[in-house]
Amino acid sequence: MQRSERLDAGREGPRSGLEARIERRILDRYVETCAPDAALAFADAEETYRSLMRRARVRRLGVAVARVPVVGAVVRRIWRGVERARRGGAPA
Amino acid sequence: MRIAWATPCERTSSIGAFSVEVVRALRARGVAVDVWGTAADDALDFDEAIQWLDPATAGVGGEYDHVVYNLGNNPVYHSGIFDAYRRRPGVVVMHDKAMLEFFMSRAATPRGWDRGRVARFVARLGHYYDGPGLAFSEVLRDPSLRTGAMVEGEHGFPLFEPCLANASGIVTHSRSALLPMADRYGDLVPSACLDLPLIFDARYRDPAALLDRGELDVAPGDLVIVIHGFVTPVKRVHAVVDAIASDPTLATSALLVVAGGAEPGYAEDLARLGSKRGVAERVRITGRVDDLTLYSYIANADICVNLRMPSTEAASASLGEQLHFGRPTIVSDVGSFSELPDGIVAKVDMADEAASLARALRELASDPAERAALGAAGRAYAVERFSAERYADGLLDLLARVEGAAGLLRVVDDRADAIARGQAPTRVREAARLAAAEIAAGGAVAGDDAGTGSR
Repeated sequence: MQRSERLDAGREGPRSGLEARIERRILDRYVETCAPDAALAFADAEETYRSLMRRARVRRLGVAVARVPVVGAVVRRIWRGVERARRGGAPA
Repeated sequence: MRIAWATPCERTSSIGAFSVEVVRALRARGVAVDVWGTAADDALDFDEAIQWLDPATAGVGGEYDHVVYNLGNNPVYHSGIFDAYRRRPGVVVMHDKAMLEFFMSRAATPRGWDRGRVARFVARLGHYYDGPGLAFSEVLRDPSLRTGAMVEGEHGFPLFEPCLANASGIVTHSRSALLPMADRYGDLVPSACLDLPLIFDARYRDPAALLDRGELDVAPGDLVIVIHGFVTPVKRVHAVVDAIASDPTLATSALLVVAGGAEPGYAEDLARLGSKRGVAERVRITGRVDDLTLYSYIANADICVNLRMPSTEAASASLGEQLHFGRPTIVSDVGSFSELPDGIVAKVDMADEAASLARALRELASDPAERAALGAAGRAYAVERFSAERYADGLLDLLARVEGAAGLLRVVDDRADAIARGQAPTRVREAARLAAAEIAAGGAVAGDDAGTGSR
């Protein structure tokens, strides 16, 4: 959901170009002047942050394992297949 | 008029060198300019004392008609300037069109991510581009995207927007950089595209004062191709090595000089590539050199090369140096380079880089008359456009428009700040409608400047 929708849910009707630009300025200043806590509440960043850290931990573990010879070759092959599948291509 | 000019002051900062030139030109026009900077071990000489930004308050203090903030994507040089900008509105000079790396770097600490700053970074991506989780996870998953697709193109995240939210005016150095910035707030925030002036030391601008080919240890018959400044893979030096190695004539007659420092590992990669392609003796990587040597190489070049992919800066200062010396220059057909008129530089189609670059090198190498014509046209263009005096005039014109639009912007920003402080309901559309109505009702007060926008 766009920030404007969060802040001003349910608004309707056409706007002039000037109104649209004023609205953008108001929203931008809101985001830039809010404390991080407020930004968290509005952008669902908390959950995003957790998920990113989980992903980063998994990736670090994968990299550590992949550095072991032989095991690394197998892991890299599997990882490439996973990556390709995630990007929409055929698995190796 | 009294201006506070916030800039990096380190001698190693090219934006600092830019500031020295523009501040001198402004003062020569009777403008009182105080330079504000963050602490520097080896500061540039601005003729007058520098006001140091206090890390505790990080703001510009005192009475000024305008505060001008020079912002770029190097967090070492620009974090203090950005913090000061957040505390007091002013005119921003955007030296880069992509600031994604800057804001990402601010979220990092030596021990890992700073959670609060990551939250703000993600909130920004979410607000300006939607899909914060997708965007940020893509950045983490594939760091190579940061300088490629992440900052350019339809799905890019240049993230210059935080640098505009507190801006009363916008200056940048190419039309391609200006367009998205000027479009954000339209007439509310006046903007201008000004040509970057020459910023290198005036002592080295006269070719007669520089070293000749013999002093540079260049053989008389060599075709000297020069790439100068700090090089990274973004400057595509490896593509030039490949192009030289792929052409039998160039592989035996060209001397590629890479004059300047390099990103860690890149100089070694280039040397390895030269050896692998059999042109090691045709590639000279000087490393960091003094200014006399650096500008002597440019002045003695048969061809200069100035490539970028991606293009993240608003304009290239090094291009001005190459054109100043009348050297025929090959550039990428991207960003600010694309805006140069035909006949000033030779442009490489980056969608077909290898073939296009090889063709441009071959054509210039085989045609001394074409090299001379291109160099002369570039020199004439540089003389006409790249001066600090011209820049100062353009800036003063913009500041006059900023003064004219200040009343309008105050109406909007007062309402925005009341909402942000929780002192007004967060009905944004209603606030925007009321502000627009107030501006319309006060049109006579706002004056004709209400209609001025970017130039």
